[in-house]
Amino acid sequence: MRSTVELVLVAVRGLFARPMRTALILLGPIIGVGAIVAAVGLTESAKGDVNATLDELGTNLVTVQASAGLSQPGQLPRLPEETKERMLSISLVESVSVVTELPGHRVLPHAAAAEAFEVLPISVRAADGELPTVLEVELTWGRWLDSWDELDGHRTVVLGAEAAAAFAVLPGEARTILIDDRRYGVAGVLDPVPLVPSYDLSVFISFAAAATDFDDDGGPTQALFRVDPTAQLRDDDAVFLNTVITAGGPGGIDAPVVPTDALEASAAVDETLRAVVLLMGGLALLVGGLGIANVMSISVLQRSAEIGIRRAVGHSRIRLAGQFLLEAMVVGVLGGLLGAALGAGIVVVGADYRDWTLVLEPSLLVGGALLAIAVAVVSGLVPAVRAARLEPLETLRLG
Amino acid sequence: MTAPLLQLEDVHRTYGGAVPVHALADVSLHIEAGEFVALVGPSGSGKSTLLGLLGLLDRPTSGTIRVGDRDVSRARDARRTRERGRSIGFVFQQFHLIPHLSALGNVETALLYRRLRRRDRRQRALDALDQVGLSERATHRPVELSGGEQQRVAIARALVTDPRIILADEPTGALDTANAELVMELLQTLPDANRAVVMVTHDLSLAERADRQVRLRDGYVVEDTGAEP
Repeated sequence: MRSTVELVLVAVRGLFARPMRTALILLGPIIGVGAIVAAVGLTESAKGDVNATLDELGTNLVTVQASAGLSQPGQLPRLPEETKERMLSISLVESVSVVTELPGHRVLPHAAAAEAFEVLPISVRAADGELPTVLEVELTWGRWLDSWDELDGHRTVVLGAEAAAAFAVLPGEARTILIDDRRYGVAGVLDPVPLVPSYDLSVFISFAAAATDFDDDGGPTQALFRVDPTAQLRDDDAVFLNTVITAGGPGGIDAPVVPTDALEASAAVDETLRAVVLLMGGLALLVGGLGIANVMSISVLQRSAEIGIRRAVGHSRIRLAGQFLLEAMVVGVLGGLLGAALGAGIVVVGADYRDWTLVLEPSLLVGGALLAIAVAVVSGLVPAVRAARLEPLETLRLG
Repeated sequence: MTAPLLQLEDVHRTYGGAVPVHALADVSLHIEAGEFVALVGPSGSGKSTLLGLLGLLDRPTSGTIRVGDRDVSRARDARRTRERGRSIGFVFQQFHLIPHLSALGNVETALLYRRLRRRDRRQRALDALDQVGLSERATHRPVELSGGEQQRVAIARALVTDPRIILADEPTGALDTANAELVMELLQTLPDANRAVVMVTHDLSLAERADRQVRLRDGYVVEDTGAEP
């Protein structure tokens, strides 16, 4: 035990006799481990964030859009008017909402603001009472469109989050806005809709109002529905849905879209990036290991007199090998710890900057440091064996 | 009568190769406690080879080497290393101090891995430095010491393990006259009831100051003033 402590002290002293050189060979393991920890930590944090978002939004929302078949001139393609009822007959469908986009209308906060808001592309959409439920989105304030609005075609409107911000609508404020010079009373404001971002810059009216004020009496342009979360959408589901919705009639739907797929895809892109950074970290570590082997081999030659004298005073070959192996190991320990700290710092700062959920496994830090130690020890093997093999008779130049 | 400290009988050392080189032939030498022996001879005479054998840094091709009553002629490296640490101290022409260690650290190096308490090791090293008159310079690194001081640190390092034999290889070769004199005086105090000093030199005036001269030529001992009749 005492001898081991002595050996460690000898190694540490030998290493720090040349602090500049030691600092330089430390860079390899520091950069390598730092890059690996940062790559894994950042992608885990990003993925953690995406997963948290997916959990919150649910991955079972599906949207279908009418394909161009049923369109009238000047109108968007329409789904059949019975779409909602037909879809609800599918056992896996849990809830359905239908929406009609009404293009070509001008939305203003008030008449005097025409110039300022002319170019703001606020869409008008007619929606049914179930839309917030299906989207699982709350109202910031007020209420959603209800049967009272639908029955008599009252001019009530609910604003998307960005539209409300643009019009500076205060919570609970009794306000009206203008849709093509028709005055609509603001009933509420919808929270942001991450799964359908275009809804944020939209205003929603009832189908009855759309029919009365804008002569719109076709079917919806879009249906949104939640399916049984345990069900997997298959390729032939599009054909099945098409058949159910059109019931053999004319027209059809485009391929169903699962909005959360895009989010998952963005996480998958990060996987590739992570693999690249991991590879680069591994390369840095490998090059760092070669650096250690190289510098320490030169060091063994430079210190051949020291090795000779240690052998002459009775230090065994094993101790000499151990001394140089330990020097390499100390480089690995220091480099590993500093690298893990550097990587952790990058992850903390990066996750904070991007507002990600910080995911930093202790096993990642420990693993990174151990990897550096392993690389350093393997790199130190050759120089250590060389040191042990030096013949004192040759290095001491007797006579 | 006790066994000599170091005993060589019919030692040959041949270096291999297609044409073998006989570096040392038929050398028999007994070194007794209290002796100060000078090994002299021109270069190529086998001085270095003999010193390597005496210092257990090498093995003879044939013949016997004994340290006390222990035969080490065929001993493997590990055993020779152990024996070297126990019985032999080295002083070199080029001092060979470890540059990043203080004078004290250099002396302590000879006491490492011997199950000594740190405090005891330090005390013994300080005592050895004191013996060569350098206890004031214990914390200085080799570059901060003069050549003479460095050589005295090296002598302290050789002494600290209390070896039976001190092998000095041209110990004054790199020193000016004044420092050489200091080092020679120091070396002359070292032989005692348990210890001998063997000095390799080509300087005949230095060799005269030893109480026994062994002359080598072409690998043979041609004169040994201490040889028993």
